[in-house]
Amino acid sequence: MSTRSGHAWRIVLRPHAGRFALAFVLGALTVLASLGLLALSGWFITAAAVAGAGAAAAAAFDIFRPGAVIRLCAIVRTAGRYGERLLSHDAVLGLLADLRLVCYRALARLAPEPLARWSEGELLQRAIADVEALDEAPLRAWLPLGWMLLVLAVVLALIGHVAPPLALAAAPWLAAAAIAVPLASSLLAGRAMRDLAVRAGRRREALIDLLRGLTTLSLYGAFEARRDDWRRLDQDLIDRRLRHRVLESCAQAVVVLLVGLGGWQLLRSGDRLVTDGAVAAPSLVMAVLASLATLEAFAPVAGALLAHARSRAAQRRLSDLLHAQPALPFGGTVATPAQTGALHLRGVARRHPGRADGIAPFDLDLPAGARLLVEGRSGAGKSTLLKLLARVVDPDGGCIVLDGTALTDYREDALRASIALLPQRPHLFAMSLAENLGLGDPRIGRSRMRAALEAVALGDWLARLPQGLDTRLGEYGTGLSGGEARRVALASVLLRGTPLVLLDEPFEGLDAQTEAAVVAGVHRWVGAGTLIVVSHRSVHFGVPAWRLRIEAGRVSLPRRDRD
Amino acid sequence: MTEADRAPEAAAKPWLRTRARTVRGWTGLAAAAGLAATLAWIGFAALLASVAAQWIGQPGARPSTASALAVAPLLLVARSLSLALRDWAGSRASLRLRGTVRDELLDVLARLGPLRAAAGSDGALATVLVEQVDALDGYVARYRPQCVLAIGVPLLIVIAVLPQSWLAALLLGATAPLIPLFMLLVGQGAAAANRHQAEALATLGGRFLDLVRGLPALRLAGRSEWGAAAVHEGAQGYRRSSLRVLRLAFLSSTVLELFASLAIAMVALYLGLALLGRFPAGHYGGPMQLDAALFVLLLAPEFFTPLRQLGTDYHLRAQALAAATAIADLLRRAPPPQPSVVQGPSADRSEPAPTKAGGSSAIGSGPAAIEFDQVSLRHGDGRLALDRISFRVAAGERVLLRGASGSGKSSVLALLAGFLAPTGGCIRVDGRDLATLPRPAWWPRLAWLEQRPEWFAASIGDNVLIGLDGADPARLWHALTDAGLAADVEALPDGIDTRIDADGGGLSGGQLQRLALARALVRDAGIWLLDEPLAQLDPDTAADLQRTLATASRGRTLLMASHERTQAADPWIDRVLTLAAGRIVEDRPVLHGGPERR
Repeated sequence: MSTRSGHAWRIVLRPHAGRFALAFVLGALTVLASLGLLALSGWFITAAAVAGAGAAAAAAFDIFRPGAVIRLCAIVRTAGRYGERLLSHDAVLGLLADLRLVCYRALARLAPEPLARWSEGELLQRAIADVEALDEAPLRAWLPLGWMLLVLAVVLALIGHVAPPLALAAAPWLAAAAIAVPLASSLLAGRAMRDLAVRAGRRREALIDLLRGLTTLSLYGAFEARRDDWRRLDQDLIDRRLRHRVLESCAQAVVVLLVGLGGWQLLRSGDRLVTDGAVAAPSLVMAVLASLATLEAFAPVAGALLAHARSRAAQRRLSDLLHAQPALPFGGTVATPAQTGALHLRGVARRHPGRADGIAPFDLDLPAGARLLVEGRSGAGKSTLLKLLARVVDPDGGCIVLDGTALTDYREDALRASIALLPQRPHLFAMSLAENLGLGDPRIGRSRMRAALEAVALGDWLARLPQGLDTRLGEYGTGLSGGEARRVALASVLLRGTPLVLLDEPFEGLDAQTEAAVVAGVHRWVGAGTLIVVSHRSVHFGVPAWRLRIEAGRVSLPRRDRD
Repeated sequence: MTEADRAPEAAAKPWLRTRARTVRGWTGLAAAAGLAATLAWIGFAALLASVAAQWIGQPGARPSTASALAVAPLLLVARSLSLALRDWAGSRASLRLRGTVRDELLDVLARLGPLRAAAGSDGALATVLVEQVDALDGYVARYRPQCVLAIGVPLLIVIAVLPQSWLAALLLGATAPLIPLFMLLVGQGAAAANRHQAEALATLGGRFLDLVRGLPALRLAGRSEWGAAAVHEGAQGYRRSSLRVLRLAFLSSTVLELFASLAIAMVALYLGLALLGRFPAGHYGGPMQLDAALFVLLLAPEFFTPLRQLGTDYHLRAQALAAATAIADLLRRAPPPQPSVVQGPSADRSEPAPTKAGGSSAIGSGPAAIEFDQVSLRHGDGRLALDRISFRVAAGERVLLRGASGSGKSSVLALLAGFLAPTGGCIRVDGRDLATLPRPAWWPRLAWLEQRPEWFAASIGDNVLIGLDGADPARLWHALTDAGLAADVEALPDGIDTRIDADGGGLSGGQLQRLALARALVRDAGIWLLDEPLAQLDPDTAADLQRTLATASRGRTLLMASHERTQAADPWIDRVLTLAAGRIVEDRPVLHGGPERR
């Protein structure tokens, strides 16, 4: 699992590696300049004090070179930090963009039906929060870890250069601060963190359950008990989080302590060397200050592995999404779309285990160009029938044949070019009217869009829009009435020009006059294609239509109008 | 638009400050611990400087190396402990605050009952309770203590440096008046960046969610790749615009960084010159000594650390403000608390309710007579929902409330259920003022049926028997039979144990309304409040349910709200009240035996 998730992650990361590398270099310059600023200043002051003791030495002391380097360090530190922040944010934003796309494509593969597996909140959580947790890894874990290792190496080399035994004295303390503490804290907290994420999810679900039934629970006297249950869950999570926090800040405090003790150890060991005359005091002060200055690079590392763990958890969830199997595999090979809408169904059934709505086995034969009206009560299974015909779901048994080819034998693009479905609750995008109608299909011209709007009796409405087809629709089609929104979606379905058109309650919310106009328009547009309409109203196309009733999942034999 | 956005945020600011003050003890402790850590570091720096001074044989350096080396680890431990204490106290403050705010929000929602829908979907409300409340964390745990430290720490350091060298103290202190300026600079930059980021991210998130929601449509149209292109384009646009803002925002913190770096460099150069004796001014008396110089050098970076941290943490404040806006908005919607519920004893003092079935017994106390006496309801935004309406409903009478949406019929039901309190007039139940009736005593007498009843992901039986743990199964079947659902449930493979989803999935719309009816019947409530129970059903199913309602509700006081457009009142209704714009425009009994004419 982890290699699988790691693989997907590496592919997404690769295009941004260059920018991250550059950010690393700039960041490294910054931390080294920071270190140099303090260490060199310490050396400079001590050397100046030594020289100041003798008047001749004081006069000969060169203050310009060290002064220039100190100022350079100050400027490099500032500029490096600015560049590093900008670059790493650019890289992270680029990564974010790519991750969104990967996530979208993964969801697209699962669409349409399995999206129902996740609630909308969970989808948003996965798609947005997880993507953000993912980019924590480079920014908060990898870069700081890299800088830490670099600083550790540079400082130990510097101290070793001053006096090798001093490097040995400081190394255990600094290594413990840089490596042992983060490792230990991530070992201690890693498991707890996964647990925390699970518990947080559970608390959220419990809260939504509580809110969903709030009126009923309070009216029927069950709210307080449920609320206490939830509070216990909440309190438990709060306690665990506090423990986790304490662990994090203790790790941080221990790093601070160890770096300080490293400096102290250098003082102690150096004291002997200096009195022996083995080391010059300015160099020793430089070593001590350098070891103390490592804190700036070490402090963020205490939390780095935790950030890494968070990112790993998000990676795993994203990987689940990427590797989820679509409920409907498309293994068909027929690449030619259907030419006619002739339908033959044999023994088609769809059951929902443990649930009341479903469709019992039935047969249906419909010639090309037919008009079929599906009637029945709400919940009888009408929408399920349309979903079967559009291959949103597959039947549990039986076979659906469109224009001589079983639905399962079509390649996906051929199937989509053969069937169009208007669902009961169509979705309109917060984009322009033209984009909603054509869904970006370059083959659908603007004049055709206008014609389709005419067909659904929106011609006058379009003429009144100042920006015409470029009018932007709000979220969920706000700005449109319910009936207008449905008809825009209907026009979009018609524009697909498929030989089989499936409409779920297309005329809901229309007055009688408009309905007649829309029925006539749709009938004309579909022409020789097959049109299947689910409606609880009686619809007249002006030609004999087939009628079919569904009662509690049982499909009646279709009969034909005689007029 | 930004002006309108800022108005609620401005209102949230005092709320946030007041709330943060309730945990002042903990945040104060956090700040004190932070100052203690600085004091420990000052001590350590002094010891270190004295040891180094003795290396070069500086005369009169104190204390001795041995004692300095012995005390130093203690100061380091004290510093680390203080830092840990600072974080712990901050976390305590934050967790405590979040706990109380969450509790308060849940209280408000419970009091709002079905009216909470006006504040958002349950998913969105859960987001306020969980994520938005959690967004207060950084502000309370880190930003508030950091504000104290950003002033206190530089002050401590200037005080420590002053006796060594007035010029060094001046070099650092000269930046002190700049500190508010820095904070403003950093703050504004960060705030602008944050606001932009939040807006852009919301747009991007909105676009992404829009495309994901529409994915079924795109996939069925064979156009999902077009959606992918839109996702990509949106994210790239966000990246470009973000970088434009970040370039400026980072600049402000860079200015601070530059000042810090240059100040350290200048202090170092000055100290070097002073030690060489080439810079006679700036310190006291004799020549500058190494211990003083090193001490000053070690403290110089610490002077700027808390300020830089504050710049980094500034976004926490913006985050908390945005969250506080959402939270305060929800809290504002709370109806005024019911006096009798808040003050238990006052309910005891008022005379017992003169109900015939005995007011004290909670469940099944029979139908009640209801009287609205000049009742007005004004919403928080000033809209008048009900304008001095008066009517009486006799015990056992069944009344249809008719009116267009927004006419006030739902408000009548919400008032009666106690989810709202009248802003004028009085509602009496069996002659007793409803406001004096504690909700826990009133609610068991009610049955509530909505357009979309609430369901739990549980069995059919559990969904009916909410709050009636250990009820007799016979009672449940009795209720299901009366609701006309017994045969349907028996036909299910798992019968009464069949599970339904939280959105009622597994049963049809008509079956669900019957299940809600069974819920009302099983607790034998005497007063039924029905808010458009038929609106979501097709005409045949609705007619069936009407017939069931007619028999099941016999002998109960019933108020049913119904949209103007639904069919004429059935003969089982005793009376029709028509509402328009918050007033009763018609109050007419239905003549039994003949169809009602309009």
